[in-house]
Amino acid sequence: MTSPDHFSEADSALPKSRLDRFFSRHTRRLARYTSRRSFLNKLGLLAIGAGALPLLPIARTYSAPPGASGEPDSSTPQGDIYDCNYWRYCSIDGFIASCCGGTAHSCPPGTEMSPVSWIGTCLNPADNKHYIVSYNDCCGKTTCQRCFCHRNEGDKPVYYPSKSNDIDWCMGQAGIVYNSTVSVVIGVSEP
Amino acid sequence: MTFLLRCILLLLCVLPTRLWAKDPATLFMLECQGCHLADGSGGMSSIPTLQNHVAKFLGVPGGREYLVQVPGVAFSSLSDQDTTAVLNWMLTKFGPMESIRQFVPYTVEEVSILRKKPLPEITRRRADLMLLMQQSESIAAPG
Repeated sequence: MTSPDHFSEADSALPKSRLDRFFSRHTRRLARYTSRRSFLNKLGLLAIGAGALPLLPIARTYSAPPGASGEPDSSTPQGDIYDCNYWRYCSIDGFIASCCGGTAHSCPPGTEMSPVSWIGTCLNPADNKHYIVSYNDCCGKTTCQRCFCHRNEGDKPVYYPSKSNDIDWCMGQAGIVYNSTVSVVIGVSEP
Repeated sequence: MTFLLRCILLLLCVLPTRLWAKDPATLFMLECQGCHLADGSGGMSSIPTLQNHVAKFLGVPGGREYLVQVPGVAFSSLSDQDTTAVLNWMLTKFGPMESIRQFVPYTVEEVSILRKKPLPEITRRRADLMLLMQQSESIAAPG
């Protein structure tokens, strides 16, 4: 049985570069203390571990609905999506889509979401982050008339059209009639 | 010692990006995306397309100035510095690639001067530039 120290003598004959010495020493150590069985053992563990990865809670964040890429972590309390005081409705001026058969970020059946929108930020008190929220109008059916919500944080007069919630964003749509509004989180605003 | 110096240099390269209030991608989301959309395709016929189009203006005389003088840029609520950052980011993001190969990024001074001279006849100016663009394209690819 060779003593592990036997190899350390060879180190003096190595190139002077710090990087070369580092890799040489570690390769030698790896060769001394591992066997082929140990490699198979670790490979097996890796295969099982990789298979078990989707079972971990971290994978759930990827199962969020499409278009909701910037949604808060699923572990943070969501809040009441039917309440005007819900954090992501901070700049809404209209009827909440959740109360009209849709959700906070999807339009009621039979309506079409306007591609254009006005975009602002809202503070989520649950994780204290500012999220970028897109207020898209749902168009094509008569006004919903349920859960009217009028909060105007960051709202600007209509001569700043990209920052005004008084504009009917159904303009130019096939169904120009306004029904309700969704609040789609599209990202996190860095402080 | 050299190792320490290298660390400091590396930190200096990384730090400024963290010191910015908001990165250009976030500013684009907040100020432009509502109408131009996330992929720059433009929502309706009246909203100009950015995707594979915006940088073509750099190839025609007056186009470089025009991109700063359009209302969305000239009247933006962003500072000259942020406007310049978003404009440069947008051009490289939406391209087309062949138009930005020779692209010299806008400087803050350039944007500051140009945005103070908005265009009174925006529609006509755009039509003229589009015509020039078409002509140079047909010369580049005849038939």
